[in-house]
Amino acid sequence: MSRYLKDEALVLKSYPLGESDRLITFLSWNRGKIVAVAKGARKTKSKLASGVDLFTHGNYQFYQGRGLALVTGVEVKDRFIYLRQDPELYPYGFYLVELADRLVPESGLCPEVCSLVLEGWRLLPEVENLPLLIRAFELKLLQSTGYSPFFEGCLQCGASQATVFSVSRGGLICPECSNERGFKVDFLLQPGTIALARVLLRLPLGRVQVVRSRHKQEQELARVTGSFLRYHLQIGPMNSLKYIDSLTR
Amino acid sequence: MIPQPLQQLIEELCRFPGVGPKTAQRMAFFILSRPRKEAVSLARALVGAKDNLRFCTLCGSLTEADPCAYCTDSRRDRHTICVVQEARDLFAMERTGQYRGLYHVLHGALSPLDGVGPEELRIPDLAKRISEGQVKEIIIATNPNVEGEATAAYIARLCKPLKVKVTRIAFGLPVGGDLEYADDLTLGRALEGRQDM
Ligand SMILES: [Zn+2]
Ligand SMILES: [Zn+2]
Repeated sequence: MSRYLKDEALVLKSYPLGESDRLITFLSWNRGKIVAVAKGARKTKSKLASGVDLFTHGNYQFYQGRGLALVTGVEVKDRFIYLRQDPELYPYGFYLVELADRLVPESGLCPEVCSLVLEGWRLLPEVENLPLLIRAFELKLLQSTGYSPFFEGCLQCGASQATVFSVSRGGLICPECSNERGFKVDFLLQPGTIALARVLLRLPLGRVQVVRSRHKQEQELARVTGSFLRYHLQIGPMNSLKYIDSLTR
Repeated sequence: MIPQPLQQLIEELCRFPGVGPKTAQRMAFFILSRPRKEAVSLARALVGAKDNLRFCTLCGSLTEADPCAYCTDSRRDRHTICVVQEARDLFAMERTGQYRGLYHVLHGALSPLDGVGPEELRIPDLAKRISEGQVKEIIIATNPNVEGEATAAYIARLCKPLKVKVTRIAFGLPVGGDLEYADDLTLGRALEGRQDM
């Protein structure tokens, strides 16, 4: 069965293929991930080349034959030039990509994730606190894919005085429940970190600039989201995050 | 049942970029259809290239002798270094016939997704070459796509405190393509029309 498709999408990954083609992974609003070949896209005279470059948002046309889909047309909406021009922003742009790519299953449908990545790329040059934007992005992404960690009180009894975070349970536990049931204490969180996580989960990503936080709280939250991603989604150390660390060291 | 030696040949040919099992089979049958001496000469060329070529410790280009012919050629302009992603891009620059300076091959571009940072490329070596003081201009000829542009931006920032002029080939090179596919004329114009970064 062959057919022509149209979809709004973001370019997640792009690798050279064969003599002069590129193999592109798109994240599309209506069909989830689409892997497609952009024929001749490495040639300088290609009409497709600029539309399938990384960090591109556009309306794409595909032809789905029996093999891999082909990119047949593109209308670029935005290409986020600053992500390639600013060496500091560059790996952050990729972190959004890497996390979205690993969180969205091959055949899954996540229009919210598309919108979050797009919003993230837009916010990167505006936000002063990049690590905080990343934490907010992680939480909103988990929320939109149904894996939201719980910070609103004790998961077991609802008590508001909960400060123990259990990664396997996916949220906070109060000291009593933790003692009683022998839950593993993964993190003993500061109240400020819990408040930060709650605010980030409640606010839309675009409001992250109004949030004030301390470096220590951001670091604590980073450890929580990191081990949460590892435990529940088997998302291990991420290349782009290692890259960011190596630049800031 | 495919005879084992044929099967092995096909598998080896499959390793080449862009070569799938079908193409590999066609190549294998072609080799078998030719005289024995052609197969021997192909095999010798493979081993010879692998054994006799290395990367120049100064510029990173492919060479028989180290340092390479570009680095040791006294007629070349030692005040200019052209930075390219791959050795094949160096050949593309040479084909324009318009460049007479030295080269620096990075062996890739910055790619956070693939874990390729500045240390994985030959960027520290470039900084070292610049700090030796002879170089006046760095021409960055990385690919005009996101990874190439980001690598250019990184190098430009690195060069700022080193008091060296940094330019980027630009004119007529459309976004997204690979440098190696640019025709000589276009690449020559891009070199001529290079802009300050
Ligand atoms: Zn409780
Ligand atoms: Zn050399």
